[in-house]
Amino acid sequence: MGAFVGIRNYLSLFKDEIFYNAFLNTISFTIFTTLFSVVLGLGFAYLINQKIRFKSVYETIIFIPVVLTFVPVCLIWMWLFEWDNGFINLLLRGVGLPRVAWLSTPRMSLVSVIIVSIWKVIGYNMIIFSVGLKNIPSMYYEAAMIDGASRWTTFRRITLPLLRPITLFVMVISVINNLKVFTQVYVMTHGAQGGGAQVEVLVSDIYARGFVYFKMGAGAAESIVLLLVVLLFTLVQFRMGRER
Amino acid sequence: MLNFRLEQRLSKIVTHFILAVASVVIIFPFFWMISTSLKPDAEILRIPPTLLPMQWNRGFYQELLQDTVFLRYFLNSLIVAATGTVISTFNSLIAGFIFAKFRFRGRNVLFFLILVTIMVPFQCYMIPLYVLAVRISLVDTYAGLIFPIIVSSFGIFFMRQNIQTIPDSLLEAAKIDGAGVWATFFRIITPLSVSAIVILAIFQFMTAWGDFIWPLVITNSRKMFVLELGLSRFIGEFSVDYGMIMTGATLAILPVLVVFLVFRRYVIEGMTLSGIKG
Repeated sequence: MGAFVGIRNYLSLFKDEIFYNAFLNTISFTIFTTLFSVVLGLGFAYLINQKIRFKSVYETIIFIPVVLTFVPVCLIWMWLFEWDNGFINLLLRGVGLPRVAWLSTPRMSLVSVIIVSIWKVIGYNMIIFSVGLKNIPSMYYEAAMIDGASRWTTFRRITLPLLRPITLFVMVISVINNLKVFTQVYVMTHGAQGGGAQVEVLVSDIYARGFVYFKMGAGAAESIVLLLVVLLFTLVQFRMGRER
Repeated sequence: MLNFRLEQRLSKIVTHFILAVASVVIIFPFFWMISTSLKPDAEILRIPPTLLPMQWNRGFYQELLQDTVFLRYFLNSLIVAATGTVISTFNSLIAGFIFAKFRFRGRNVLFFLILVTIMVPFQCYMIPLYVLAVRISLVDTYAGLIFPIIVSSFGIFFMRQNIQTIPDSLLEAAKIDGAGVWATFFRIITPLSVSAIVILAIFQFMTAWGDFIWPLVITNSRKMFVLELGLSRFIGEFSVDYGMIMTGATLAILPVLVVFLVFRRYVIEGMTLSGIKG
């Protein structure tokens, strides 16, 4: 048994620049991933719930990335993002645009990781929004049609307000999940690929402190920080649940 | 009226157009993965690239499917995910039954404690869990890989919610007919929970199969790596040999994809279950 160190682990954590960097990266990852995946998820759910043909084909395709595990998905995207022969850069070059160094700087690495994460989770949000859309009674739409409301007005004045609870729900779930991001960051920016493009987020920093530098105490302190942030949003979720 | 019809037609076409483009963008990475895995080395690096292989190459698949290390990863993933799923689904069912249908002292407190643990992300307690695993020498063993997933507080919660909907009158009738607790469990509770069991099992299996951080922490020898972990080392091992890397990714994705396409409804329901979990 070691000695009791009081809050020393926390004090050293809060003086550590790496921690702040990881914290800020986690926050920007969470904000961008949540925003785009929620908006796109809602958009697709809305389109798919128009009475159209091939509905289940579209739904299945958009859901596929959700089912797959992260490591093979990261490998595919790393190949797509590759500097010389990656498909995306070849495509950019083909239309006369400059190539992008997707995984070469910490900033661009973060952007790349965000793109992959959005792509992977859209289908998930879409399904949850679909449930919400199906629960809107059709009489509202009929009334709007009789009043001669345009599609856009109907969407803004009826669909969106009635979807508010479920939108908040999806957002909170996304925020909680995104705060815990690790696998895609680790696989795509650490290790052999790493170099100067390594991105640090809270969980990867916890992992590094605990299992690379064997500073279990510091790692545990950072775990508590993550826990508090996650709990904050969980409480929001609970309150929403009660209001509904 | 004609105008209205025309507008509807047009909006349908636009909808289809957007969804079709989106589907292509979403599916393209998989197409590219498979296409790359079937090209010979020279063609993979060709500029401009070919969409489909001009020359079909099965070499990567032959090599990887004979690679015992790679097959071992597969087997390890299967062992860990299957064992974890069976055990956790079974005890979720039993615990759910107990919480739903028995009255005993401290039931609500216990259930509340279980609910609280659902909210704590795994990443927050993996360090103490690892310290524990070291103390009882579970590092680099199957037991070490499996023990964090054999009890799922979310599973218990989910089964309890389901079993609560089974009417008490059924249980009372069974009691009058002389059925004991176990007979009630196997003859009434289990058959009436089949779809909940399937959904929970799919959810647990998918979660276990895709788990990355715990295997990364708890195993260090190659023969104990699960597929996700082994695959993540491909980048270092095969450096820029993207043909090999894409073959590995294809082989890892294929089983999951097949399961999804066959049991589509159940998988979607099972996966979105975690929405409740958060």
